[in-house]
Amino acid sequence: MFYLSELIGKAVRGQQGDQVARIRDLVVELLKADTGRGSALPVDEEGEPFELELPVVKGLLATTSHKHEPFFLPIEQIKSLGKDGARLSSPKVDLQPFERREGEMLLARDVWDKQVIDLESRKVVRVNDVALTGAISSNDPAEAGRWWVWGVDISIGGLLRRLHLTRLVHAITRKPVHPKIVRWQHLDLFGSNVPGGAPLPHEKLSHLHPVEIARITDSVSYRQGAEIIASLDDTLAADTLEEIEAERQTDIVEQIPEARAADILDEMAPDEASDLLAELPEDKAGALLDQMDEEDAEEVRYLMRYPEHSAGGLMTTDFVRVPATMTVAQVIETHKLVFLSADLIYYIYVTDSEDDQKLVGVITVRDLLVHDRNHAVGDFMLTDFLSVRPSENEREVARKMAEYNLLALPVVDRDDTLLGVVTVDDALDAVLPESWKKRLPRIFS
Amino acid sequence: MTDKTAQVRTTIEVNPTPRTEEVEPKHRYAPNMLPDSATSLPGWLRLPVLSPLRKLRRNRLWPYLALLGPGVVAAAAGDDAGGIATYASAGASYGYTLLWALLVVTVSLVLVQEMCARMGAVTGKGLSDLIREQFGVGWTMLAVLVLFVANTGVTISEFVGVAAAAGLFGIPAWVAVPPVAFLIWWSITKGSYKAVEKVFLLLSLALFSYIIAAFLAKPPWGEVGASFFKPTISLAPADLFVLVALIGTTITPYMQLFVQSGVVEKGVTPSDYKYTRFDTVFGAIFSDVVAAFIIIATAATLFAHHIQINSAADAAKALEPVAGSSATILFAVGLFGASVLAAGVLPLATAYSVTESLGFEKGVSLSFTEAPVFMGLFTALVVIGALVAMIPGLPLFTVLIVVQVLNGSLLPILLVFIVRLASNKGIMGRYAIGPVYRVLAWASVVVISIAVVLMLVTLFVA
Repeated sequence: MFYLSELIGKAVRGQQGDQVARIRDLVVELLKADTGRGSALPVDEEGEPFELELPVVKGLLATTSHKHEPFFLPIEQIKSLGKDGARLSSPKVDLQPFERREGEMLLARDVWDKQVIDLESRKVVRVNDVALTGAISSNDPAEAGRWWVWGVDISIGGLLRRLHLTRLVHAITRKPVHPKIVRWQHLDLFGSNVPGGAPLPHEKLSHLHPVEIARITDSVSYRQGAEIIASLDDTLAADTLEEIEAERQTDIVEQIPEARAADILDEMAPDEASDLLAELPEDKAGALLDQMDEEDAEEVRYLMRYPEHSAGGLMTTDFVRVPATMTVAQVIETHKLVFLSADLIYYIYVTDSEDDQKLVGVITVRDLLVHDRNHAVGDFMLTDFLSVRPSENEREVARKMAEYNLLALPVVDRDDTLLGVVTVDDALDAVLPESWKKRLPRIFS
Repeated sequence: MTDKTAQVRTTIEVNPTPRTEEVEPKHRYAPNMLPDSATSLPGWLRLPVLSPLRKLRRNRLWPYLALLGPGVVAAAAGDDAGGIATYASAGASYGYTLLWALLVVTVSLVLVQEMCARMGAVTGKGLSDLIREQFGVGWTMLAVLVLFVANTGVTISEFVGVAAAAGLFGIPAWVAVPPVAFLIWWSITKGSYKAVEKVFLLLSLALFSYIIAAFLAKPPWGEVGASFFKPTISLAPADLFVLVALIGTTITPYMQLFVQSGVVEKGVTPSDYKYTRFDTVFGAIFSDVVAAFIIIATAATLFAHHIQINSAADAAKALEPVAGSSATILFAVGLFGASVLAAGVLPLATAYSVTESLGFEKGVSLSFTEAPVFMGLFTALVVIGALVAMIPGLPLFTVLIVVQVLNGSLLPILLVFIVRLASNKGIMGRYAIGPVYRVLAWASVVVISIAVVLMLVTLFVA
């Protein structure tokens, strides 16, 4: 294994050892998982073949002393590559002007010093150096002359190596500086680091919890955050977006193409979506609503009418509601989809009939489990329940929920018509001090 | 959501209010298509009580006022202990003759701050981040070193300001400085700094009395106005020294960092950048208007009576027209507030930018073992600042001005990075600064560099 910093600036030598040029950068190709090059992959220190698609070195960018424009040296013309620089395999060099192709990256320009996601520690880290590796068994001519990106060094050691200070520091501290390598398979890169953008897959990210992805988007720029969100599937993107702070949500959504943003909004809980849209400029919010699924958009519009810090502003329309005449069996049978998707299903709200939305009682999932299947829910429902008006202050809502140990509170109007439900997570969010929710403290603004 | 949507839908058919502008543009996207039940809401609720932010986006003037943020804060931080000392002694020693320089520096300040704010909005990244990503490790180390040296100097000057303010009350530095240093360190690591900050912000407002003092001193306004446009250049080392101090305290390296990070943290994007630009330009001009009044006030009172400023007590004399015998108290309170305010933010901002560009763990909520570099740097800066300020017999006012000269001398290095980044199309896209802007920006860099080089040359020759 050797490092990019040990290569850059080193000589490219001909077969007689004469210096032809200097190395300026390394061109690598990002391999897709399904290219099936298993046989060509080298083995790691334990003798196991690399299990994943490591970027392979395609060639060098080099400059000669009298020509400043860098030229491309295909890797096929390189016999050896390492700390001593590169050695050419043929007496004739084929100079080609360099043009980056799809799926190619320059290690020094596009990876050095950039931010990447370390999927193991689930943090955003900065690349101090890039570790490269060649095939271990160079006896095999098919494997010789191929090099791969092994990982990135994020340690102070990497920084010192870049500055050529390793030896000096070692002489002073008398302690070796250990590198801290994040293996390529645990890395996620930003396509925006590559000029013109590179379509990098972020599928590794989707194994993380939405909260973790949200924390990662919080520690990068809003553009990179949008790149992450846009790379996730609609459901995960929606879940992640819900975990992000309001101001940042809007910045990110504004960066995502409208049609896609509308798809993500469709997947969000209607109360979260309405909060987000309310923060956007009117024309943008309107355009997004127009492109959203009609049903979802209607729910969101309905919720957007209520002031932000009231029960109406907190409530969601995503809950389970049944008419009092339904039996337990019917409730379970006819509401499977709702049980699957609703925010909170522990409380089931009972209205007097299918058409009239007057709230007459509440049952819980526990009731469904223990009561006879043929009982109508109206027979055992709790009729003495707590509810709030949409104008109720959010703190009062939270206080009531804490006092009576409730998971949710129905919001009704003067005629007891059920308008929505405030769930405990939103109530908690509303009353927690700002500083508890912030992941990184703000110091400048 | 079977029942629910059915309910909402039917109502729409019953009451198909067209979603057009004339209904009520304010709620265009939350139209009056309510279920019947919802119309029974109390009247004041039906017209949504808008949240402050929603209101902001609908109103023309509000955003300008409410988004007054990073730019104004950064610029206000420019009128700190070092700033007051420099402006006051410039006024006391040179009268109105340096006002023209302040005007030129203000133009540069506006340009520089605007470039940084713009970079923050376009890229969403801090200045040290951009330098690292664009210029690599080597240049980053230079920039970090510059920032570290300059910010350490300013941190020291803020604690010196605390010591000077305490001295006006007859409290020795070794009594006043340690508790203040501890309060800053403790409130920031415990995350309660925001509350503390407000108190000191309030105290620092006492310095606005310089504006009143300038008017009460009845300076010859004609002469004052003319001196803004009457460049006088002297090549005497002492004069150049004050000139560079004036530059260094007005365009402080940390302010650029500060304004850009502030814009990033506020989540400003190109679409709402116009408010931020207003904020930045307004902040820069406002800060220098205050500076001009400090110069005018001291020129009208101290320069007129040939009193040189050698201590905080001298600087306070300029406030006598306002507060009479209480001038010292007024000055001390303002100086104390401004100093503590900046003394808290500077070590934090420095630790942030250094760790950020070098890629270490950062954040005040972390412990020493989690983020050793960040917490170590932050703590070290507070301790160094406090210790230096407690050196017995330290010529406080001289230290304040020397630090500004150091700032001014390091400034050109940082400005080169800023102008190069802001004009880079690869980073800024169509928001890169245009050709005229670029010429002006480079001109600022060149003029400032010349002043610094001249000062250094004359300093060593003399």
